[in-house]
Amino acid sequence: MLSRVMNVQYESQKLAINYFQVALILFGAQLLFGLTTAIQYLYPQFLFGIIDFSVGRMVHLNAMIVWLLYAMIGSVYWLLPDETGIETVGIKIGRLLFYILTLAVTIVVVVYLVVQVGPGNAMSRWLIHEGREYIEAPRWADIGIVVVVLGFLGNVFATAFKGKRTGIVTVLMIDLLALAGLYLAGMFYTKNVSVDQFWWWWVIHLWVEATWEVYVAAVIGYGLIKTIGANRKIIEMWIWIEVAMLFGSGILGIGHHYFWIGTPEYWLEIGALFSALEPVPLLGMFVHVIYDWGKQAGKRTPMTNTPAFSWFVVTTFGNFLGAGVWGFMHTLPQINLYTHGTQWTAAHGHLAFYGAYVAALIGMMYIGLQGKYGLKEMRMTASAKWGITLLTGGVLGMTMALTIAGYVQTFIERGQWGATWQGYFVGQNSPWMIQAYGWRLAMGVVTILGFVFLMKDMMTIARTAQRENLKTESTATATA
Amino acid sequence: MEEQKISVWGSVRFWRNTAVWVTGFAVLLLIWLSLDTIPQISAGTIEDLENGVTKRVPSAAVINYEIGYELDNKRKTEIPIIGGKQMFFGRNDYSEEEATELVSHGKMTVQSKNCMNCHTLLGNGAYYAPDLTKSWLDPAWSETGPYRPMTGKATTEEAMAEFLQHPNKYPTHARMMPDLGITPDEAIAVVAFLKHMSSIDTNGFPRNFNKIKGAVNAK
Amino acid sequence: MEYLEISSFFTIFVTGALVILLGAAYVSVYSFVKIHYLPSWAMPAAYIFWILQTYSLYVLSVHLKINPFTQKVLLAAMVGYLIIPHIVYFLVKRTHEAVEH
Ligand code: HEM
Ligand code: HEM
Ligand SMILES: [Fe+2]
Repeated sequence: MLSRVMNVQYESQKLAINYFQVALILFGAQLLFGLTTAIQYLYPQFLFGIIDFSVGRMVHLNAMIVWLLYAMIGSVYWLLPDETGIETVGIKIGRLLFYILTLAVTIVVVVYLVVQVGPGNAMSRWLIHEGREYIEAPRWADIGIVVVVLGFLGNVFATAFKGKRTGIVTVLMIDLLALAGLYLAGMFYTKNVSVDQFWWWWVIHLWVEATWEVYVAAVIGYGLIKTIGANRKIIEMWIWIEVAMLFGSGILGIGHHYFWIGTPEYWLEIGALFSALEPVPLLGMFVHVIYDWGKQAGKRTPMTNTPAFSWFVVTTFGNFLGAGVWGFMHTLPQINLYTHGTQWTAAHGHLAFYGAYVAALIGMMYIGLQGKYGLKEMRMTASAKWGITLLTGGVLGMTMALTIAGYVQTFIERGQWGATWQGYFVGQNSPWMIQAYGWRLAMGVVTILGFVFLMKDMMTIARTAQRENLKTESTATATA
Repeated sequence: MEEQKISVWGSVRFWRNTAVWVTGFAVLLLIWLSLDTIPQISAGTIEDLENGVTKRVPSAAVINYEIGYELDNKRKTEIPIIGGKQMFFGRNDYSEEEATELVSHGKMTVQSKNCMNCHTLLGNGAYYAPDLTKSWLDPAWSETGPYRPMTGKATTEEAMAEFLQHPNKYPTHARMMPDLGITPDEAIAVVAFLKHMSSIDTNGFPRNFNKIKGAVNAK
Repeated sequence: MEYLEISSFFTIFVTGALVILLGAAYVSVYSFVKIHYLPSWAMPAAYIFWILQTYSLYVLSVHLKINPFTQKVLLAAMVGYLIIPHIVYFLVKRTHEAVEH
């Protein structure tokens, strides 16, 4: 019988589950607004003047950033008691902050959707949105986020100092501190658009290609220990090697965003060199997971959580393909001069975010689910399989469609027409481009279907697993 | 398990130290380069403009001047060329402070109206509408382009300002720009921001811009 | 920066992807053979992948009109890439050995 009460003994892990729940709701919102904007590409009249493309896209992106952050905070609250061996210090404050953050996020989204735009003054920036892609949150919310994150960091640090401080926790502590500190670089107004974008990339790039990557390396390390019983010492050693490679290439890899925003020419060489090295750690991660997998298959020890492990496999492939391959294809300045700001970028953005972060964090959620109901073993259900297949297939399909769109756009608009206003629309009107947008929409629907299966699975997998476990137990006693 | 001598490769400490050193080095290099870059992309002054000193990001007072975008044979990329004086909404005597405030008002409007979630600025943003980096120089808004007659205005700046205030009166494509409630003052400021942005040295982005017939021809 | 031929675009994207994918193929086959997931006679395939990867990078650099100096740097990088999996595997093995005795 599935008990409705949570089976976790730590308050920290109960809070983690709440973070995961809100994350999933926001994931749904992200996909919904991705859908409206994808429809507008084909039928521009759709919701025109009601939820314009710009509004839908802002919600699409912000819901994504915020849900990934929720899932990241949740994962840390989940693994912290496991790692340190104690209840998280200050968990009551942690819970209070969760409610404050969720209230703030709700208000921000409602304002995005209802108020949408304001006059061109500082008030709009403080109360409505900041108008800078990915970090649109109005200033009041920025400050709120900083307060909440400081509280979260306080909890993590206090717990780590009081309990056992493992290597995984140490890496997370330093990384989260850097991740939070970088947010400050996006919190001021400047009159100069080049300076604006210079600091904007400190937040965006140094998040997704440095601090977030290290975060997932550490969390996947924890996940491998949990799901296939990987050796902790090896995992921790590898995390440090990954830190060296990721930060060594990713930090200066920021140069690939400083090619064309007014910044000096030396960034062309620096950006090319370091960003070309960025696929190397992703390859390293890939090889290491293969190695461990091979070893594990040899040992034939049972895998305790197949859905989680499957998602971790998707993340190593997805990160490598989306960030490594799709990133490298347009990162050298010679070609980026033509692809910069086209559908190429969107193709890369989708596969990279999905592969590197969505997949890894869904894996963590499955670990949470297993722990929530105290299951020794959790196997793939039919919905879990449909979920992972349709989500991954859908995003891959969208990426393919956008890659074709990006190629055509680069060719027509950039190559033949020199990126003029007219060239832009000649490109957009090309039948190739329109078909690609059609496929993107279709594959977006597939992605949403995958999400529906995922949600269904998350609500039912524990019950299925308990039934299975009971069955095996009773056959075991029967044969005994 | 007995205690044994572990090789350096198997030592967590060795890898932790490596990670710390590599990261520290990368961070220091990034900070050092940033300290070099920020002054180079800070806005120039009105004196620079008067004395023909080139800046990667010129003073906002560049709105008093004609701007071109031409192939530089040494760098093998197009770069902005600042030409002679040019009227902007009937004036070419904006002071440094006035111009800076105007461009800043334009930038604030661009942020408040969320332009970046349909267009790209310096190539960054959304891909639903054309890039605005050099829109000021776009042949479509020039004397021979279609947009001046469409809006019934005589100059690029007036045509752009008119379009921004009433985009749905001038549908240029099935994908229309929405009416964002841009006021006349805001429209002028946004056009000033766009004109200033076109004078930024972007290392040749967008490429090929001047190859198209009817494009920029400033001296 | 040189003007690229638009007829080069396709080759550029394909070879760009191949550089990384063949790189992964080389490293994967190498690792699979090492952990005995693949028989040892598959090893030459790994090196064939590396050769194809190097060729792709060469074609890429020609189409990008990269200057001769950078081209040499790139080819030197490919020699480095030939060696890296050996080092990485050595590390993986040593790190595992250090713990698993
Ligand atoms: C998980 C890691 C990564 C994520 C989540 C990610 C995501 C993104 C996103 C969302 C953008 C678009 C930014 C915008 O809106 O303008 C972008 C741009 C870019 N990314 Fe990545 N990326 C990752 C890793 C990489 C790697 C490893 C490389 C290089 C090898 C790379 C190369 C680039 C380049 C060159 C651009 C600029 C595109 C342009 O010029 O428009 N990325 N990335
Ligand atoms: C139902 C599925 C989805 C659809 C239909 C969809 C559609 C879209 C559309 C239309 C845009 C605007 C692109 C533009 O400006 O031209 C966009 C941007 C973006 N989406 Fe999605 N999306 C979906 C799912 C996702 C997922 C799962 C992720 C990753 C977690 C994601 C991440 C992004 C990112 C990072 C951008 C910004 C890209 C850039 O600026 O380069 N989307 N999406
Ligand atoms: Fe980046």
